[in-house]
Amino acid sequence: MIELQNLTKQFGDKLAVDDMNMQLKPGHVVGLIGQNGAGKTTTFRMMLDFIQPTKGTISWDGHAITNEDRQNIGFLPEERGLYQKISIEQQVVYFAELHGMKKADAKQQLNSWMKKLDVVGKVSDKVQSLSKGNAQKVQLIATVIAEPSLLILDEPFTGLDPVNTQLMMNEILRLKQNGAHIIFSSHNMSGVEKLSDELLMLKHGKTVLSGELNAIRESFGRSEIYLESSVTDEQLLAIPGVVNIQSEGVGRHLKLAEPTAGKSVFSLVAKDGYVPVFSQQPPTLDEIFRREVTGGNVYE
Amino acid sequence: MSKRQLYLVAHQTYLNRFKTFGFWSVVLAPLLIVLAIVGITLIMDATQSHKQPTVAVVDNQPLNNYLKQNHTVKAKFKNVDSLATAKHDLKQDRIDGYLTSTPTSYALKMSVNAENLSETTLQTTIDQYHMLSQADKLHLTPNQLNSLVSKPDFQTSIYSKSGKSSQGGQATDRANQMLSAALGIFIFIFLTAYVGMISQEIANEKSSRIMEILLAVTSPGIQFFGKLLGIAGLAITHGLIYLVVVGVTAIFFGDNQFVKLIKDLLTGVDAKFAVMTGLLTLVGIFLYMILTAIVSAMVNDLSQVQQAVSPITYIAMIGYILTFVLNGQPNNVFINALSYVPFISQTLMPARLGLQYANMADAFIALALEIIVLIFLARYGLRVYKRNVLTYNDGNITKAALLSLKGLFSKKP
Repeated sequence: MIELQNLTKQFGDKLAVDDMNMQLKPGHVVGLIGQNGAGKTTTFRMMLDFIQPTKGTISWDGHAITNEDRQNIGFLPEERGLYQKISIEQQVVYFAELHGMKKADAKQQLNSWMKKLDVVGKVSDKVQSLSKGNAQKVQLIATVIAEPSLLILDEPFTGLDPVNTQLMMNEILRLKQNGAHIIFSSHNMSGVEKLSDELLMLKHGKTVLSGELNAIRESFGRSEIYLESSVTDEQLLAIPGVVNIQSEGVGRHLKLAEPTAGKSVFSLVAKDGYVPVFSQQPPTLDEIFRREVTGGNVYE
Repeated sequence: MSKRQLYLVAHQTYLNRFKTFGFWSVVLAPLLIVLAIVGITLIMDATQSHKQPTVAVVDNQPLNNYLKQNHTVKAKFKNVDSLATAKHDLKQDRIDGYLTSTPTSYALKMSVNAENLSETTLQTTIDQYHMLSQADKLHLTPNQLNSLVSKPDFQTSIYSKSGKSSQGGQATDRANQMLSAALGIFIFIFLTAYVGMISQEIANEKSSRIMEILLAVTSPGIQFFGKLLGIAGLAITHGLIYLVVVGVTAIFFGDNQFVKLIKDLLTGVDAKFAVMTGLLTLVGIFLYMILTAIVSAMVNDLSQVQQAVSPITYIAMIGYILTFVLNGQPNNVFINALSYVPFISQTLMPARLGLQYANMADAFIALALEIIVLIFLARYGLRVYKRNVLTYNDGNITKAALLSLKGLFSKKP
């Protein structure tokens, strides 16, 4: 287990990360969310020993991360980087060997990865000849080919089309099933919801949300209703506790001041004994994110 | 530090650069320049006119005979009766010049278009003729003449601080001086090339963010020393290629006049001097490589490489330039002091040693200072490298350099 305890980083007067605590268990995925400059990348840089924490510790199975441990870390930086003038094979094999993999194994694995991720091109092609999407796939292969125990992914879905995003997600889930510790940051909340077992949200370096995803959502209460019904907006807004109504596809999205207002809404829409869709839910992660960022003024 | 990772980084750096046009242009450019010089010289030699000039000796048959029999002067001689005939023949281009003589003087007049004639050789030959004719007039026997002209035995020896008395050792001194001068040029070219290579290597990985991926799995120490080893490997390969070229040239072109000339010069180089110069050079190159690696870690992108490494090139230039002003200044305190200073000593100390202005003890001190600075630079430079290699300073290298100096002795990055 990887544990971050009271982790703090100060740059001059600016507190980049403030007293962060987090546990990263094997086979678990932690999503790190927050606005730009919230302290996500700083956290990763401390985990990777690029910068030293001002205070606090990072441990792996109870000991500080050693150089040997580092061979088991796969890191995908936010700004992607590959050697442009050498072949795919040369650089992927180089990264794999640095992770302790044998050259022959790396070459063999690379071929199957190229097929699995549908990379257009040959292993002998230089990276500069690849499209952006294919270069990103190669970057992912270089990160995961050695099956690292700890995977740190900084904005892994940036710049990916939906197909490649799904491919990336599938690989993250596969590594999770294999028991890897995975932490990633993203602004793609639906991606975070799909992948994360646990969530940690930072705001100006402070942890504002932390825990299991469903528990976090439920902690906000079931204050949202998706509804498909012939009842008018006026009738719905007349119910005490209904704050806001927005059209969503063929239905409407209601925001409640209190989850208990849901009973009154249900009574109204089901008065004839039938309602096509009534779903009372906790806020989505996207909703929670915006609510936390704006300090709760999400409806304004 | 993982030895395997160190090897992998060194190997990757070596292999990546070995395949580049840049490396081979650095290796081949000096060879091509030498080949071009030899080729041009050979062409000049082949197309040069070897026609001997014809010189008329005016009314002096004995002198004419002496010059003809002597064969030292590369010219054809013929006797003419009068100055007027000689002038007429010269005007008609039948001769290239004429030689007039009185009992005490000789004069040579050559046409402007005349083939080249060695005046020094002609004068020496005329001196001998004049001496012989004077001896004949004085009725001297050959023994008397020999006794008169024989030179007394006179030997010069120079006492140097090295304790070596260079007994007639001008050849050795000249060879050492030439070797140190050639090394000065070689080291400067070498340093410029490899300083560029290291800086490109590090700046490329830093600016493209590959460094972040590499440092996630390795450590700054492995990257720092791995890259240095890789580039050092290239430098050694470079040197070996030249050794092979020199060996092949010596074996297959040993009779060539240029090769002979160089061989003659190098036979005078003494072993101690060569070893000490080699050591000073080697450690000096390592010093520059480490300094370059440190400085290159401060750049944000490739466009700043030149700005960052220029000061290093200027430092290398100091030693190089001073080797040219060194001759004739054995007691210049400024130059003598600089010859011990690491980063300059690798060119200046061998030059002083070659000129016998310094002895082996001086060279040992310079070498020891280089090694001390090398250890210091490797140790503290790694901290600076670690501090800078993942830091981006809004494009301001000077700021990065000042911050690095400030935190040089701090272990925290």
